[in-house]
Amino acid sequence: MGKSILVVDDSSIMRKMVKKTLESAGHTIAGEAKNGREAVQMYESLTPDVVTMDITMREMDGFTAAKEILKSDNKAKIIFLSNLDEQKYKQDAESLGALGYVNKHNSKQILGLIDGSD
Amino acid sequence: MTGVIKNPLMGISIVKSSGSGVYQKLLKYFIILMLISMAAGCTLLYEIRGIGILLESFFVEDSAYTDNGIDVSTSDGNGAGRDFQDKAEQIHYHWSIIKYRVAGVTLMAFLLMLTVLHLFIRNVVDPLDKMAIITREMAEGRLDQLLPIKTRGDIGHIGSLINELAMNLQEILLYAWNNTTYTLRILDKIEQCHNPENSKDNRNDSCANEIRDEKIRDEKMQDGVEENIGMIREHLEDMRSMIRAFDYYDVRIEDDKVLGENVPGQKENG
Repeated sequence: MGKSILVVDDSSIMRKMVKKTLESAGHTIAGEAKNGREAVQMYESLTPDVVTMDITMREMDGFTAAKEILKSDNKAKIIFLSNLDEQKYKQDAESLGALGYVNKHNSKQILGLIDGSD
Repeated sequence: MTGVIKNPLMGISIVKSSGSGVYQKLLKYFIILMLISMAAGCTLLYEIRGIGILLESFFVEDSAYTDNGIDVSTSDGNGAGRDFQDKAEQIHYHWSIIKYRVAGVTLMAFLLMLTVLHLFIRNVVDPLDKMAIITREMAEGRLDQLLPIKTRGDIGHIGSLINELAMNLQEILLYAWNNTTYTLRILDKIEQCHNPENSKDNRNDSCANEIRDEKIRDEKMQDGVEENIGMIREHLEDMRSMIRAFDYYDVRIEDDKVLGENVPGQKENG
């Protein structure tokens, strides 16, 4: 069954790519945020099933935004989707309580994580 | 190269850049405008002074004429002379006020022009000049130079769009970098399996070099190669779908081919 997903990325082309991947797998896009601050606000109003979160963003980075979201909802399902080195940041992402870490060049891996998030 | 000069007229710091040249143009136009308005003000003052002198001389001459007792207009010659003198003084007084007022208005207009210029430089020219410099740096490959967005108007909006363009370009480059890095790693793996003696690290478990049975080893290696080729294909497909997400200037991507739009002779060549 498709899930509602909040896509967070400062790059519009990446949001477009992620949206395309998710929609082709039958998920719906609850909203798009272009920085961490917007993501926190949109999470509260939209309450999506899953959040795909970029890490390096202006205004508020992905880790800070994830902390804020998890503070308000400790059951929030957040998948980090970034170009940063997976080995270096995967552990940080998981220690925050995120569902997983996916490198953008393997963006299709998020589908597996979303399906396994039930 | 970027240098800072001080505008002697206003004390405004001006970034004299090799970028847009907006400041130089603006300063040129301002000086022309200022000279025109100053010339107009001076001409006006000169004309007023001329008319004043003419009127004063007329009344002074008339009062002198009547004071000498050759009064033709009234029966009381001395009264008429005083009347002329009073009028002359009044005209002199009013004329002085008009002169000062014209000078004051000219000065006020000049100060107003300076204020408008200052505000225009601060709110329009300065952000545009920065935008021109940073955009050129971005075009030359410096994507770490993002524009600081201070205003919410049209200029701020253009600035944030330029930043977005830079962010998108960075994302694409990093995406391509990660894809090529992983592809190269997979190719290294394949190379290790086929030429273990030439590779940097000839200990690769997935190569099955340790397996004694030649047939099983070959099958295992074949499976490994196929798996790696599949991964390379996936990475390359990802990159291609990223490239396809764009619309291009003068070209389009169609069936693995890059085709020109409106290229002369395209129809003839098929």
